[in-house]
Amino acid sequence: MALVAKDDTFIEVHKYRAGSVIGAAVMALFLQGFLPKYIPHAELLELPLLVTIYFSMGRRNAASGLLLGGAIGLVQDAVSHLPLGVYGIALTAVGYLATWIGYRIDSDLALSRFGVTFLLYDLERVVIALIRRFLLERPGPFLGRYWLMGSLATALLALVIFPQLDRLRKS
Amino acid sequence: MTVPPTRRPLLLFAAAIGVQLLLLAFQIRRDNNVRLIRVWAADAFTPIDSAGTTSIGWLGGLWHGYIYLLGTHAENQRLNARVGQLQLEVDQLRGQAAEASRLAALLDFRQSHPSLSLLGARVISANPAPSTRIVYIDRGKSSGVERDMGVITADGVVGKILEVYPGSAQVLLITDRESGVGALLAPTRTQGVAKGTGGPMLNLDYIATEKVQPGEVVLTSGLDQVFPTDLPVGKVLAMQPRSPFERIEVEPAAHLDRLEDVLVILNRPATPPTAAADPPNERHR
Repeated sequence: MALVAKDDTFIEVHKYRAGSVIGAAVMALFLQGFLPKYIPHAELLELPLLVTIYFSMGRRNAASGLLLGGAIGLVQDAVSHLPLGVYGIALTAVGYLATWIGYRIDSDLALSRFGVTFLLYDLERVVIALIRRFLLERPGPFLGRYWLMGSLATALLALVIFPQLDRLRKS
Repeated sequence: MTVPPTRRPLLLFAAAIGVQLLLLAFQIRRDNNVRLIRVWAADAFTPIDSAGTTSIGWLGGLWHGYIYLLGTHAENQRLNARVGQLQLEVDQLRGQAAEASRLAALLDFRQSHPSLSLLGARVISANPAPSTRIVYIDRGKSSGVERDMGVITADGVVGKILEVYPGSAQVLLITDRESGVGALLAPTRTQGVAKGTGGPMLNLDYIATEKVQPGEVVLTSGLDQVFPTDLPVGKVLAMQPRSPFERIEVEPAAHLDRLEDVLVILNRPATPPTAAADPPNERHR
C-alpha cells in the first residue's frame, strides 16, 4: 500500500501482485460465459464489471482504470454477439468513474462497495442501452425489473468477491 | 500546448471513448449496407463542403461581379468596335453575295440569248432630278455604247441610252414620261406601246377591244428597233375600259428602283418580218 497526496490529505493506493489483475479479468470473463450454463439467472451477474470496479477503485489511477475497463469490455464484446465497443465503452466509463469515486470514499467499506457496484451496474446498463438504441438501432429493455434484480445481485456478489480480491494486494 | 495534469485522465477517457465509438461506427452498417462511420463522415463534412462551396461561390461572384468588371468597360468598347467591324464585313459579304447572284442571272440571260451582243455595265447614279427617271451607267462611248441602245436586266427591259459620254452613259428608264417601248400582250400577241407614267408603273396604250386579264405578261414586240422581241416588259396589273383604247396599267418586270448591274444591247435588232402595223406615231426616244 502507498500513500499519495491529494490536496492536504493522503489517500491509500493499493498495489497488487504481478498478474493478479489479468488473472482476475480472465477468470471473470470465463465465469461470465460459463456460469449461466449451470446456474439459472446467472446471466444477471456482471463479473467483468466487478473486476473493473474493484481494481479501479483500489489502484485509484484514472488511466489504468479506464484502460482496464476498456480492455475487459472489448474482450467481452469479442466473445459476445455485439460489435466491438459496446461493452468497451460502457466499462471504460465504469473504470473511469470507479477511479473518480475511489478518490472520494473509503472503498474498503462494505456499504461503499455495495453502493458503488449497484450504481455502476446501472450506469453500464444505461450506456449499453443508449448504444443499442442510437448506434445499433436495436433498442433493448430499459430499467426493468430484471435489470434491477441484476444490479442488486451483482452488488451483493461484490460483498463476497471483493474481500477475496483483497487477498491479491501487496501488503 | 501543455495539458494540466489534472485534465490528462479526462482527455484519456475522452480519447478511449472516441476510439471505441469509431470502432463501433466502423462495424455498424446502416441502410444500403453503408458503414455508420461513412454516414458520420458524410454528415460531418457535408456542412463544411456546403459552406466551402458557398464561400467560393460568393468569392467568385464578388470577383466576377465587381473586381473583374473593372476592365469590362474597356472590353465592352473594344467588343462594340469589333461588332461594328464584323457587321460591316457581314454587310459587305451580303452585298457580294447579292452581286454574285445578280451577275449569275445576267450571265444566264446572256447565254440564253446568244444572238445578242451584250455589254455589262454598273449603275453609278440614279434619278438626278425627281421629275425624271434617269440613271447613269459606268460604260460610255469608249466601250461602244451609242444612243438609243437598249438596256436590260435578266428580269426585263430597263430603258434605252439617252446620252453617251466617253466613260459613262445616261439611261432613260421605261417609266419616264418621255419613254415608250414597243410591246405586246403575250397570250394574244396584240401589239401596243408601253409608255412611262413618271411613276413606278407603265401604261400599255393602243390596245383596242381586247379582253385583257390582270397578270398577263407583256413582252417587247421589237418594232421600236431598240429591243429584240419577247423580252419581258412587265405584267398587267389593272385595266380600265376607255374609248377608243383601253387603259392598261403594267408593272415593270425589271426592278427599276434598285438597279445595280445592267446589260447594254450593242447590236440593234432587225425588224421582225411578221410584225403587224406599227403603233401610231409615238415619240420613242
